[in-house]
Amino acid sequence: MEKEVISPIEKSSSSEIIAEKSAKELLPDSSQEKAQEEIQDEIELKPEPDPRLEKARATPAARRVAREHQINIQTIPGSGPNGRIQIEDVKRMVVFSPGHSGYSSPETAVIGTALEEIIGNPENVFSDPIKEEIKEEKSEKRETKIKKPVAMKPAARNNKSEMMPNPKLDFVPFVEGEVEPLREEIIVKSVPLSSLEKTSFEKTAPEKNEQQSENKTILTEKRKDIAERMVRSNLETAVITLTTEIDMTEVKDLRKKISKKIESQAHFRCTYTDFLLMATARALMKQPIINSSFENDEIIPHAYANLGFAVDTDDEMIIPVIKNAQDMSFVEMVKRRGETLKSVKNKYYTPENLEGSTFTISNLGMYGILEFSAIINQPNGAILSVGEVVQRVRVHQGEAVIRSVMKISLNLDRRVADGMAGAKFLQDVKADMENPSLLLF
Amino acid sequence: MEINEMKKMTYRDAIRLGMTEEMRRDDDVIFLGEDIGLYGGAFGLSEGMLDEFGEARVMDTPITEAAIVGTAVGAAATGLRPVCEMMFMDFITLGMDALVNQGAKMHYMFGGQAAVPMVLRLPAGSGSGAGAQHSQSLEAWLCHVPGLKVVTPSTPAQAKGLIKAAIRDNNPVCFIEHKMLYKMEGLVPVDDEFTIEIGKTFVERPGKDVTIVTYGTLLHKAIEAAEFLAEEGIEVEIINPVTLYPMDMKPIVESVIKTGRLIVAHEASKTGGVGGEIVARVVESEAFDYLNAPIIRLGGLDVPIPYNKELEAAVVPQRNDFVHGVYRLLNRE
Repeated sequence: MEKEVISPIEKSSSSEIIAEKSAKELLPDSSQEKAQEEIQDEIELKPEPDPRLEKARATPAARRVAREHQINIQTIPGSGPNGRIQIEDVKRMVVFSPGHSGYSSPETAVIGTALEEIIGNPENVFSDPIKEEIKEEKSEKRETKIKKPVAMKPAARNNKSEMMPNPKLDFVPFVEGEVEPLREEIIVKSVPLSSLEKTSFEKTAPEKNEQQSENKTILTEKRKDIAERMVRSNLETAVITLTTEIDMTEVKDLRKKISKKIESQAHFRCTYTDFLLMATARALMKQPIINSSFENDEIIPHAYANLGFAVDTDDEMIIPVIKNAQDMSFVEMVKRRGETLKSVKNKYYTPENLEGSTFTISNLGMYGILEFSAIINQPNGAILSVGEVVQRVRVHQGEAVIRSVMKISLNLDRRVADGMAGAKFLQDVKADMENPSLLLF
Repeated sequence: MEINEMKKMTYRDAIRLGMTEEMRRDDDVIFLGEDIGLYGGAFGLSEGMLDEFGEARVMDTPITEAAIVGTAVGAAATGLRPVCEMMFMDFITLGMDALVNQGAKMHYMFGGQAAVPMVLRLPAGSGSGAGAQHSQSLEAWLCHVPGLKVVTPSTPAQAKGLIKAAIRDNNPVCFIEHKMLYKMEGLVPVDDEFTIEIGKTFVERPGKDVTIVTYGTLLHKAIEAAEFLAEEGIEVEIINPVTLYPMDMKPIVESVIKTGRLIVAHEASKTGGVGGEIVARVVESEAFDYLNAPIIRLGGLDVPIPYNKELEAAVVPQRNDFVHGVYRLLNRE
């Protein structure tokens, strides 16, 4: 054995090799262990980078469009689950990357309808699915094509995807789906409408065909009617406003817990509004004087709660009515509210759907309004104005903690009821909303 | 094209009508299976056929599936056109050797000199509370064997057109019929030359938002879901491959290019199912670059089908699974 090992060394003329070999033979174990330890340390110091880092998560379709338009996919914010970049996100970049928009303020902007308008911009060839196909086939003719204003069909578009932010303009999307806002909180800053107008509105304005002008006259008559009613209400009623703050943290937690279950039963998502409608209906039963009509110098309290809730549609505000809300279970309420909203959005409603309210709720919370004071929807005796759910530091069980709170204001016709009844009503609503599990039964 | 006269009948009657018409047209067509003669078939499908065609052509066999399939392969190779019925698809296991190692291979191994024009009728699927050994959907096994064709009709009209096309085909054709569809009614062309081409995929419902590829009873659940979703403005395109092997992928690929979103569904267990094959083919095709969301497979759970009706319904996809799948693809969940 020894001979076999030694013989090659003897043949070698280099003394270094001999030195090395002998050194290894002398200190075999300790040095090897050390070397191994060092290697192990290195591994611990430099862990394998996570292969997911620095890679954009994008669908194949999004990658294809980005490739075709030479857009760096890394720069696109994704609107899909966990920020996945989808084809819609890339298409949006295609439209806005030339820099037509003059808006470059670092300020965050919260935009309501304006965001839709911008995405409905006729220069946005992707905003209309039919346009999109034309564009892909005849890219040379694009310039002449896109200058024609396209009639906007907001109902035909997928509202959700249309409401996603344009990263260049740094919008914050603030309406989830087409229903009520379910977000945590939104920072509202200045809205530079002037710069937005330059981007799209003026270009759509000039050409108008006859149909559009006809529409216009109808609209003004409607507006006139609304104006007259509003002024009359303001003149005839003696309004006092009562405001209170509701701790919505419990509602929020409960909603999270039950939303799946409720959705499976009602086929609609439950929202804060549903809790509020339930609480209102119950409080109205306890304070029937708030639930009365004032007509021909008569006060008529009602034994049923027909709740009107103001819905903003494309061209007007509509107040559909949920009838006999006092008898409804929570699931029924979610279902009725969802169906009513759907029928209003799709314009399926009949005049009967809008008649017979005994009390009205107006909610501007989704537009970031903290509190406001709505005009009474006559012949109702009162109206509830609902603000945004925001997070605020509040003293809860003796400690300063962050709670979700919402302000509601009751505008009460003083001829119908006095402030005490209104206060009791708000107290009842507040009590129910702060113990929302009772609303489920 | 002439407008075909249509008659309303059940899926079961449509299969019987198709077989009867072919047996009248061609004396070589024979029918064999357990209890198909005097008893009229375990599901009453072959009632009256014995009276019309006699014992020589409608043959009650002993309770041995190996013998039924073996007889059919031999008869087909020597000139007849047998149709044989397994009482339940689950029992195909016993006839597998004759089918897989003989029937599917002969045409190839004999240099094209032999043909095996046989039809294997296989009542499949769950929903009847018949238990784990009478409720399986084993189409993926059959699709895996080159030389077999696999078809599965979902409506009475497809049932009639396909059973006739299957009998006229010169290859062994596995005709998978879903037990829960037997009583389904639909309009069926009366024309006795009406057939449905094997290897042709049907677009059952056009749409632009999400593509659903499915067959069998799930087709009807998917249509229900699509109707529900249509109320919310979601347009679902439903595609029924009808022929599972050789599958016509073109309409599926085109549909995915259009919608960018795909759900593939079947009652059979998800693992190793036909759905996986469809998904793989879509991803291999040019539709890959048009996918705008991960593909969803809805399949039976990887468990034997329970006999308890509630559990049975729980292990296969239902209407709501389609609805929630679509919501998921559209980021609504």
